[in-house]
Amino acid sequence: MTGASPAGPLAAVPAGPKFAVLFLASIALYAVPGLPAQIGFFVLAVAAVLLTRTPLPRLARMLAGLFLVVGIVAVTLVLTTGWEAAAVSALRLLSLCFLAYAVTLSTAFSEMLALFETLLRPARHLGLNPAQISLALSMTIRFIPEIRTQYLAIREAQFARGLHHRPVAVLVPLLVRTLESAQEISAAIDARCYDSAPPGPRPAPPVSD
Amino acid sequence: MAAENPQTTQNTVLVAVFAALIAALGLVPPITVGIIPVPITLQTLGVMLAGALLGPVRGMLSVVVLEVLVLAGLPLLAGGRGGLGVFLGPTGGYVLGWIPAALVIGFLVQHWALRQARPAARFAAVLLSTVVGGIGVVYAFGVPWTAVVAGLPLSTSLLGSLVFVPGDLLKAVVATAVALNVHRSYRRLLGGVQTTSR
Repeated sequence: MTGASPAGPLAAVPAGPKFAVLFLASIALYAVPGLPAQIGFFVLAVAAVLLTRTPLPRLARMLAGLFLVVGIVAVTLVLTTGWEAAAVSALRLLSLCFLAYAVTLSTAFSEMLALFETLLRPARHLGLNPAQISLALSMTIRFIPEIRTQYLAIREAQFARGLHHRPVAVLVPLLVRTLESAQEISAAIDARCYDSAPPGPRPAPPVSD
Repeated sequence: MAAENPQTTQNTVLVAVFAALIAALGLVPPITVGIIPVPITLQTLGVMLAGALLGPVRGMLSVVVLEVLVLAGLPLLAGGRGGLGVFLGPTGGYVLGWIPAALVIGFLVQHWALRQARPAARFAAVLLSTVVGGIGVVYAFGVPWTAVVAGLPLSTSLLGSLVFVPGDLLKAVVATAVALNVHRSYRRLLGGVQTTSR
C-alpha cells in the first residue's frame, strides 16, 4: 500500500536504532537553542529524506499538507514574535517531520510491525494476548478495501433513490452490514480454533520435531 | 477465562472491523450534508461511531489499532497521510486525542446516554456525549500540542482550531443519529442496554 519497497542506505539500518535516533533527535531539537543549530539540524534532516531515494513528486505530495500548516504557523509567529523565533520554530517543525518521514520511508511495513511486536512482548504480563493483537492488525488491513467498496456501493444505491445528502441513509446500512460480517467472521475463526488462549504457557504441540 | 470464552474472538473482530471502518471513511470521497455545500471528511465521524457503538474499551482499542498501523507507515489518515511524521507534526495531538475521545464517548454513551428513557432525551444525551468526547477531548489534546510543537501562544492555537468546530458539530449530529439507529437493530452491542420505545 505504501508503494515500492524502501531503498537507499538507510533501508539497511534496522528499525530499532532508527527509532532510537529519531527519539534522541526530537529531544535535541527542543533542547538546543539558536538559529545556527536549527539550520544544521535541518540540513541533516533534508539529507536523511533524500537518502531514502523517494521520487520527488511523491515526496512533494506527502509534504504538501505539512508545508501549508508550517507556513501558517510561521506567518503567525512573524506577526506576533518576530522573524527569528518564526524561523527557529518552522525549521524545528520541518526537521522533526523530515526525520520522521525518513524513518517511515526507509523502513518496510513488515519490519515496523515486527518492531512493535517486540515492544509489545512485555504486555503479555499485563494480560494482553499477542495472538489477538496480530489478528486484529492483519484483519484491519484486510478489511479496509472491503468496507470502502461496500461504502461506495451503498452510496451509489442511495444516490439512485435520491438520498444524496443523507449520510445517515448511507452509514446505517454500512454499519449493519459491517456488524453482520463481523459476527460471521468471528464464528468462522472460532470454528477453525484460532489461538485465542490467554497468555501463558502453551500446551505442547501434538507432533514433536 | 478467555480461552473458554468465544466472546474474545468476537471482540477482537469487532475492534479490527471498526478500525478498518475508520480507515475506510478516511479514504472515501467527502460527503455533503443536507443543504450545506461544504464537504466534510468522515474520519472523525468514524472515531465517534466506534466509541458510541462499541463502548469505551473496544472503541478505544479500534482507534489504537488504526493508529498503530498509521505509525507503522500505512497512509490511512484522510488525505493519504501516514507514518511517524503525522504524530510528530503540528496536528499530531488531534490524532492522538482520538484514543481518549473514543474512550470518553463510549463510557458516556454506555453508562449514561443509552439509559435515558425518552427518545428525545436519549438523542440529546448521545449528542452531548459525542460532543464532549469528539470535540472537547480531541481539542484538549490537539490545541496544546500545536502550541508546544509550533511554539505558538495557546490562544492563537485555540483560535485557529475554531474553524473546525462547525464541521465537527455536524459530524456529532450525524454520528448520534447513526448510532441510535444501529443500536435499535443491534441491542446486544453494548450488553443488554434498554433501547425500547421504537
